[in-house]
Amino acid sequence: MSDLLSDPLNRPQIEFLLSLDGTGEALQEIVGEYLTMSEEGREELLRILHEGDTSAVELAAHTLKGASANVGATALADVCADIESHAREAQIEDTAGLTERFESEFARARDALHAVTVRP
Amino acid sequence: MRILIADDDPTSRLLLKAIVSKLGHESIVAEEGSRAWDLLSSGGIDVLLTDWMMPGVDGPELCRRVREGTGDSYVYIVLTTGLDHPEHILEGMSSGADDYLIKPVDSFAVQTRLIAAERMTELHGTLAQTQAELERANFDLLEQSLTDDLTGLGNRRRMEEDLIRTHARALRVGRTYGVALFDVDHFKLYNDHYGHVAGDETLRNVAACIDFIVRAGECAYRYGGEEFLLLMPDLGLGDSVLATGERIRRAVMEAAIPHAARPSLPPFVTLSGGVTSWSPGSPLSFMQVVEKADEALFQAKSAGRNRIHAAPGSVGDQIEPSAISR
Repeated sequence: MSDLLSDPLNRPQIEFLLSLDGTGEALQEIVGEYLTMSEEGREELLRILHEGDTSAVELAAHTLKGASANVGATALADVCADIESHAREAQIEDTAGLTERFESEFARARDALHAVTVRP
Repeated sequence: MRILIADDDPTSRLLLKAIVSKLGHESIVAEEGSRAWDLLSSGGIDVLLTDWMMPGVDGPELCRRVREGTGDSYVYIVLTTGLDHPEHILEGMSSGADDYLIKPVDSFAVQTRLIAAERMTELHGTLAQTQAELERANFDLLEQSLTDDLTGLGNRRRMEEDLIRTHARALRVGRTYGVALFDVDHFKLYNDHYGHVAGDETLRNVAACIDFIVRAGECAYRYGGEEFLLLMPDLGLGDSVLATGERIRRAVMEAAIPHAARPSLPPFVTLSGGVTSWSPGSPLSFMQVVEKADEALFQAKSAGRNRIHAAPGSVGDQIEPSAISR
C-alpha cells in the first residue's frame, strides 16, 4: 500500500542502476526497455483482468512485478504482487479497487521513470 | 567465467548482464528456456542464472535437464525468483540448482554467488581430471599385470585369458586355431657360460625375433623360463602351424646370437618347437591342446633340437620344412 504523495521510485535502486557502468548508459537502457515492455504489459494485464483468465493474469502480473522491481518502481511492484496473489487464489471478481490502484501507480512510476531518463 | 542468463523479462536480462559484465565475466542471454537449453547443450557454460517462471521450458525443468546431461564440465546453477515463493526455491534446489537469488537482484548478491560458482566449477574440473588420470593409471596397471617384465611379451596370465577366449570362440563359430610352443636350446649351458645378465638379454632378443615374425591377430607370450608360446587364433585353409614355427626357428637362428657353450652346431642360440592345432569336432580342451604342443616340443628336442615338430593331425603338418619360403 502506498501513499500517493510518496516517491514512486526506490531511489537506492536507481542509484544502483546508475552505478552499474558509471556512465548511466545501463540505467538508460534498462529503464528504456522497461518503459516499452511495461506499456505492453499494462494493456495485456487490463485486457485479461477483464476477461477473467486467472492463470494468464498471474503470469502477466508476475512479469510486470519483477520488471518494476528492477527499475525501482516498488509501489507498482507491490500492486502487481497483490494482483498476482489474488489471481493465484482465483479471486479476481473484485478487481475494481486493484485495477484503480494499478492504474494510478503505473502512471506515477512511468512519469517518474521518464524524468529519470531525461536527466543528463 | 562464461555465464548464461535465462529470463523472459528483458529488464532482468539487461540488469544481470550489466552486473555480470561489471564483475568481469562474459555473459550470453536467452529469452526463454528452450533457447537456454540449446546454448547449454553446445557447451562452454560455467554458470546458469535462470529465472523460475519462463514460458516453455521453465527454470526447474532446465535444472533437471542440465543435471541429467552427461556433459564433462559442471554447470553451476543459480535460480532467480521472487521472495513471495519460498516453495519455488525448495523445488528449484531439489531439481538441481546450487543456489538462488531473490529478485530484484543486486551486485553484491550476484558477486557472492559467482565466487562460490568459480570454486565449485574449479573443484569439479579437478575431480574430472583426477578421475581421468585414475582411469588411465588403472588401464596401465592392468596392462602391466598382463605383460612379462623381462621380454615385454604377454605373460602367463594374459596367455591363459587369450587361450580361453580363443578356444570358446573357436567352439562357438567353428574356427581352427593353432598353438606353438618354443624352447631355447641348451639355455642352462648358456647361462652357466655367459651369466644370467647375458641370459636375460638373450631371452629379450629371442622374444623380439618371435614378436617380429608374428602376424596381425597372432600373439606371443613368455610361457615361463626360456619357453615361449605362440597363439594363432584364426587359421585358414592355406595356413600351416608348422610353417609358422619354422619361420620363427629360422629367424632366431639367423639372428646369430653366439652360443659357444653348446655341444652341437650351429654355434648360435636356436629354438626347438612343437606345434599343433585345434579344429571343430576335436574333443580336446585348450589345456590339452597346449599339452599336445608340449609333446611335439619334446619330440623335437629328442630328435636333436633346432627343429620344429608338428603333433599328428595339425593343420599343414605335411609340409616339408625345406619347402617353406621365408
